[in-house]
Amino acid sequence: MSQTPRTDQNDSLSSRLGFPETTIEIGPTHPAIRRVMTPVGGTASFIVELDDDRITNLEVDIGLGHRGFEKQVESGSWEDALPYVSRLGWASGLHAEIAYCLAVESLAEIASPDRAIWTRMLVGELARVSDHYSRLGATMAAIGLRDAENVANAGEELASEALVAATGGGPLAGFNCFGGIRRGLSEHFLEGWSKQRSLIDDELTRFGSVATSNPTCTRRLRGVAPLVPEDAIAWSVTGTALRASGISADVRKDRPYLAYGALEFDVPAGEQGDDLDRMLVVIEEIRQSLGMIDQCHKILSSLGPGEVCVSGEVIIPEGEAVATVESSTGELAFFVVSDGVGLPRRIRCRAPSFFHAQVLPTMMVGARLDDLLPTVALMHLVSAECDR
Amino acid sequence: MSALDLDALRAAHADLNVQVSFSPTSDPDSHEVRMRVPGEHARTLLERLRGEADTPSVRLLDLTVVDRMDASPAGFEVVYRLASRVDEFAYRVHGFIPDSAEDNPSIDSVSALWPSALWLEREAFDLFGIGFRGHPELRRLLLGADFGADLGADADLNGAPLRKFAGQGQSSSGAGR
Repeated sequence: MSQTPRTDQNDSLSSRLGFPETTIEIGPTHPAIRRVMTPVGGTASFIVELDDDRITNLEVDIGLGHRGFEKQVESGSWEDALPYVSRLGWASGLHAEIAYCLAVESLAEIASPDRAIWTRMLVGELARVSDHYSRLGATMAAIGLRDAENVANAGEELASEALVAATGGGPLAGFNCFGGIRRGLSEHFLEGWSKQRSLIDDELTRFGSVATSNPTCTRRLRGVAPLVPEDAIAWSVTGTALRASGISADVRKDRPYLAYGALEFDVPAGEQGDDLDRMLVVIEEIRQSLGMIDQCHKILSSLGPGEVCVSGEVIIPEGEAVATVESSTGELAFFVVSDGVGLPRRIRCRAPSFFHAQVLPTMMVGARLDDLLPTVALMHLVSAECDR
Repeated sequence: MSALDLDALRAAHADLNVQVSFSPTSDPDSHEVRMRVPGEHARTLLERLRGEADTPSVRLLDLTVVDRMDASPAGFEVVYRLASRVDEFAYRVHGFIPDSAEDNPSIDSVSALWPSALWLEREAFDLFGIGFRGHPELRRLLLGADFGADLGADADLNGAPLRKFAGQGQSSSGAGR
């Protein structure tokens, strides 16, 4: 059985029947978009020009979710910005929080206690597992594999439960502060992790049997919306999409922050840069993250309870700093500028989703209309950070 | 890596009036090279840093603006953050556009060097009113067409009042989204 051959442009249905090309606007409230993008919070809208069901032109319109984030956080003190920063994503907001704290700590030259460093890595990886599962769920919803979607959503639920147990309130718990974290991990989490981990792992195995070894899924995603490495570099694509294109760049390996240099993990990479490769990279990263959480858990159990944040007032002098983290969406960075007067001069968030929304037309022209939604899900557009 | 040799960088770009220094990042083992350059030379410097090849050997990570209109010297800084493909080194280029009463602030577009600058420059135009010469489609990106002002340091959360460069906001509002 082979795939239906792609129709030649001159021989398309619309030209044979004498129809003109069609332009349709998908989103920002189209039910299909909501279905796919609700789990990842998308509000982008797509203006698609079609010949038959082939996309001949695609315009991505962002900005509906623009909240004036950068202006807002520059209007208050450095600490006031933290709640806004954690709302830059759902689970990935935790990565933004860590990046922002690292940037400010670099300005103020504060070193967090070891316990805080290892806990930040642990919750960051948990957030990644949760976010990656939600991405898999959205992708499966987009291609109509309901059983696989349910498995992925179950995995997300389990990872979120663990995250709530660890931080006390999920991704929006206000867990990080300048110089460390607000509270150490609960006994409840430390004792229950190994059981929860095996449940999360079980869902991954189950997802393998319903999705990755299911030809309905693999043949549906193979060859869809390929992104060649040259384009990925030119369009500043990062994260899983860049790795799926065959470039194994990962901030955690290349410029290790926190204590990632002391962790053992592999950086998976794809070969063809298509939707299937992107999905396989996401699945492998969940596996790697679980291994990293195990390592952090072991170290934290041996460290025991104690100081998790530096004490005393944080004074932020004049200067500039950049902190980059590998968020579940890609390379997320904060560039901060201080005049030393207590209020920030500039807080800039480099949001990976912004670049991933921009590159979509390059990938989608020539693809079929029903390839758009799974690709959007796998490129992981988080509108809160894309629109800011 | 010779790219991190500051003296060599200074000598190579001496004609562009570049100030080169190290800037610490959150990682104590690696440094970002900070280069400050007059706005009119920024594109030339970036073109040299990018390399000649069809495929850039250096990635454009980010482009943003810092409003320093109340500082001395007054003006806008357009900040470009670059990194090599697998992050052996990183540059941060600050192109400085001095305050001048008659002109709208503007700088040469780098969208021909990196296509990812297309939206970044539109965002900077949208939020700060900076013009990018040579940008193929400079129109608003995030804000609505009827949003008249930019979000420079003196604008409030509703984007008003605009201290100066009033013509910029008007020219952009006609473009639509």
